[in-house]
Amino acid sequence: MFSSQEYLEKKTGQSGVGRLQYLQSLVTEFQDTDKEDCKEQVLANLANFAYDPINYEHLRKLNVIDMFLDSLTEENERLVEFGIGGLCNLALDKQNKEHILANGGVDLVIQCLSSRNEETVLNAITTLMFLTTPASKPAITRLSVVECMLRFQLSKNSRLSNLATVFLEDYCSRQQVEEARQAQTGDAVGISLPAEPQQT
Amino acid sequence: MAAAMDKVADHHKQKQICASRPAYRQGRRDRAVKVYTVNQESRYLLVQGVPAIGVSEDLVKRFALYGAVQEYRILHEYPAEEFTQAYWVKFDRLQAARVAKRKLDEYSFFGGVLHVSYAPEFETVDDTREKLGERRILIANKTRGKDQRVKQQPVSSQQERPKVQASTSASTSQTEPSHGNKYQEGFQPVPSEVETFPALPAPPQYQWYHPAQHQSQWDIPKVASKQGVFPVGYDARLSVQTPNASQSNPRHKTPPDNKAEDSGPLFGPQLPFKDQSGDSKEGATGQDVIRPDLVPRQVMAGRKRPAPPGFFGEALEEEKDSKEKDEEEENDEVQKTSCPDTGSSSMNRTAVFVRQKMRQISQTRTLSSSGRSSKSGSSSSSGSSKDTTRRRI
Repeated sequence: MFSSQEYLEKKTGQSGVGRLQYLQSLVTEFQDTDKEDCKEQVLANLANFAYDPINYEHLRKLNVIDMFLDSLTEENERLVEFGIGGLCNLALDKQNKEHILANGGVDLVIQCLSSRNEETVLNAITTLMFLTTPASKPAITRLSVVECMLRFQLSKNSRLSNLATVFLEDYCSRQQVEEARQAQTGDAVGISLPAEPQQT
Repeated sequence: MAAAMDKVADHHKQKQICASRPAYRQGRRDRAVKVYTVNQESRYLLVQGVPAIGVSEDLVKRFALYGAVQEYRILHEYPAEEFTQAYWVKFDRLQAARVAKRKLDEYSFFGGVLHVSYAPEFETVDDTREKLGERRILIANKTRGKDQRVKQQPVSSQQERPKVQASTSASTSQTEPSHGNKYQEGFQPVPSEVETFPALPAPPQYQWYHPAQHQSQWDIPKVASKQGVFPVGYDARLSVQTPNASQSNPRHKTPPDNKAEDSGPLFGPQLPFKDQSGDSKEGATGQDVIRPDLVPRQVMAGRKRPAPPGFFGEALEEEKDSKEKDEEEENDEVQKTSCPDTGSSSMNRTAVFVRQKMRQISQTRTLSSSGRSSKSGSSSSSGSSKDTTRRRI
C-alpha cells in the first residue's frame, strides 16, 4: 500500500532523481507554468503523493499544504477537486492537521461543501472529519454544517448519505443534530446540494 | 439503487489518458488525471468488459489471487457493451481490492480487456465508517513511528481523535461477520433482477497468501515487481498436467509434476511415448493435447549429447555390444523408475541418466587408454581391464 524507504532508494538508483527533488520540480512547474492543464496535472500528482505518509516531510518542507489550501479558492473546479483531495489525503497526520487548522483550513473546506462536483463534496466531508480535534470541533460542527449534513443524509447518492450519516452519528452530539433539525424545519437558507445525475 | 443503475456513475467511466505530460513526469503506464483518496477507494469493485462466455469462475479465481473475495455477482442490468458483462466483486479487505484493481485494470482476459473501478456506492454506513477508521489507524501507525524517531516524544494522536476511534478500532475485526448479515437483511444496493447464484460455490479461497505468516496486518499480497500481475510462484497457465490425472492414465509413462520444474539441461520436455498418440486428445479432463511427434527445435538445437535411448519413444533395441547392454540395464532401470506405479519424478530419471552418462564417459576413457581392440587385456591395462571385465558381467 505504501512505499518504504528502501523501496524508494531501490527505485531511484544511484543517478536518479530522489523523491524530494522530484516533488520540488513538480512544485516549481506548478508555480512557473501558465497552462491550466499542466497545473491540474501537477496538482493531481501531488495530491496522489499525499496519500503516502512517507512523503509528508517533503510536502511540508515544500509548502504543498498551502498550495492545496490556495487551490480551494480557484475558479477551476478541477483544481478545487484535486486540492481538497490532497488535503483529505494528508489531513490525518498530526503536524499537517495543525498546519491546516492554523491557516484557516476549516472555513475553506466548509466552502467546498457547496461545490457542484460530487467528489469535491465527498472529500470535503471526509476532510472535516479528519480535522476534528477538541479545539476545532465547535467550528466544524457549527449549525450550518450540521444542517447541510442533514440534507446530504437524505440524498439518493449513497456515498453522500453514508458519509453524512457517519459525520452526524460520530462527530456531532445529539443536541447539535436536534437543533439543526429544528432550524431546518423553519428556514431553508443554507448550503445547496451538489448536482446529481439526471434520471432518465 | 435502481436510479444509479440507469445512469452510469462518473467514477465508473474510464477517463481519457493524459497525453500532454512532459517527459520527466510521464510514468511507465499511461494514466488519466485523477486523484484517489479514501473516499474513492472501496472494498467493492466493478469489473466491466468481461466476455460473456461463462468465465465467472476464472474471473473470480483471478481476483481471489489478491485477497479473499467475499461475494460476487453478475450485474445484468448494468449497461455493458455487446457480448460483455459487468461483475460486482466484494473483497474482505480494502488493501486486497486496491492491489486487485491496480493489477487487473486494463488486463486482457479471455479476449476482452477488463475495466476495473471502485464501487463505493455499494458500501453500507458501517462499511464507510470502518474504511475511514482503518485509514486513521494506518496513518497513525505510520506517523507515530516517525515522530518517535525524529522528535523522541511519545505521540498520542489518539487523544485528539473523537470518540469514533474507540468504536471503529474495536469494531474493525468484529463487525466483519455482522456486515454480511446486515447486508443481506436490509441493504439492497443491487437491483432485485440480479441473478443470484444459489448453486455456485463460495468464491475460491486461494490461500497462497497467509496473513498469519506476515508480521504486519497491513501487508498486502506480494508480486514479483510493480509491473508483475501474479504472485510469486503462481502458475498462471490455463491447463497444466496434474499428477492425479496422469497417474490415472496408465499410458502416461512419464508424468511431469510441473512443467516449470526443470529436469536439468540434459533433458527436454517429457514427452510420452509414441504409442499413445491414439488418445492424444483428452477433452474430458481438459489436459493439453499431446503431440509426441513434436519436439521443440530448441531442444534439438541445444542438444550437445545424443539423447538417451527411449527419449523419443522408440522401442529399445537388443544390442550385442556389452557396452550397450549396460545402457539397456540402465534403460530398464529408467523405465522401471518411470513407471507411474512407483510414483516417478523427472528428477529420478535425471539422476539415472547422469549416472549412466558418467559411466559411459569413464568407460570410454578406460577403453581408449587400454585400446578398444584388446579385450583380452594386456599387461599394461590389466588393472583397467579388470574394471571393464567387472563391468561386463
